[in-house]
Amino acid sequence: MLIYLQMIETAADKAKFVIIYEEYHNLMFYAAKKILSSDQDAEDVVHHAFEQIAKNIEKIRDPLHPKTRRYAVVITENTALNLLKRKKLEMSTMQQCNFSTASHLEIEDDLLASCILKLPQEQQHVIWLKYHLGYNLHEIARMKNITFAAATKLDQRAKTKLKQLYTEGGGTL
Amino acid sequence: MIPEKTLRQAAARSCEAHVAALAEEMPADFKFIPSPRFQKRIKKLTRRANHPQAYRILQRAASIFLAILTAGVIWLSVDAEAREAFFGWVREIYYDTFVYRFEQLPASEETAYQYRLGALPEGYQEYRVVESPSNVFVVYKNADGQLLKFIYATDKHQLGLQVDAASASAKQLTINQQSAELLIYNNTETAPVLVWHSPNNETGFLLSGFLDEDELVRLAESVTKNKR
Repeated sequence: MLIYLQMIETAADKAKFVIIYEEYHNLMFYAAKKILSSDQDAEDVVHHAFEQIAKNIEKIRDPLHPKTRRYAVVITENTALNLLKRKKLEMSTMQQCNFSTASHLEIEDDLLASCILKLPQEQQHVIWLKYHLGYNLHEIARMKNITFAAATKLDQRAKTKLKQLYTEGGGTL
Repeated sequence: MIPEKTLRQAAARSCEAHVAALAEEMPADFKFIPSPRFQKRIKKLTRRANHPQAYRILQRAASIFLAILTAGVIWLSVDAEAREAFFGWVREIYYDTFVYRFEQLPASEETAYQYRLGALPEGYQEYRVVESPSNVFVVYKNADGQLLKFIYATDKHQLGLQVDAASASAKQLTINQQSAELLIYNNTETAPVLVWHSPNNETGFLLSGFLDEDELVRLAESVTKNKR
């Protein structure tokens, strides 16, 4: 953990980071393992995810806020997906690696939220990163190692697919 | 077109459901044990971190300049209440964050003491303590996993206590005859935050948990100061 702490400027931020590390590293590793079968790959992903958290630690106000846990998991999953892509695995394998629990989830009284959970995971992450975790498309592009144009297209595709699922589910706009 | 506000709310709910499901399915005994390879990579990165490149210095200088510039712009853009005296500490607003920090140098012996809640709500126990030179973060937890956060700050060189100001409304209170502020949020996932200070103005306190106002005040008034 020393390296992460060296990336952090203030003592208060270091304390925040310690809490995030201690509180979420198991869940982050578990999230990575769900996408990547190898322990070694999952460990790499957790390492990169913590590097990203360390870089952005000043944006995190409360390490124990539910949003911080979501941030840690989404960053980890996103990093795992990037690694999976880099390894040029078949798209079909990616589909199989979809989060089975999440895709079966239904949120009562919230059709739109349920539809987001039915999106392909890459589109799901763009929606979460942009509309929940406050990343802009430039940052998402950097995070996913894609161009800004590709990130914009991904965002548009996600919203188009979401609109389709929503109207098919009986939602009205 | 889905309205952005609706999309944001749905994104938050779906993300929460996804992460909650993941946490629920994770076996209770699941543990991430870093391998020797992982440790080795950390050491390697540590060496790199100990020899920073010149660009990092330039980057930092540019960041400081930008921060000064931005701070100046923010300063001009907020109204007179943005920087109001708050009990010897100062409360400032930066976009959607309240920052409570020292205006004066605290006595050095202040760090020789530690603070804890003298009373706890039923079922809560001390769960974790994380200390840094400027802040101490004490977390209490009950059997249902509900958290109660107690933070105190004693270093004027740090930013002190940072609190989410977005969608918060502030209520003025008193804790042991000292000014205090209770921040209440209009969303269900952010717990109310109570901020106050020690009688000598040298330590700032923050207490946050899903408890009602009377309970938070009772706990705040129970804080004990002990020599380390």
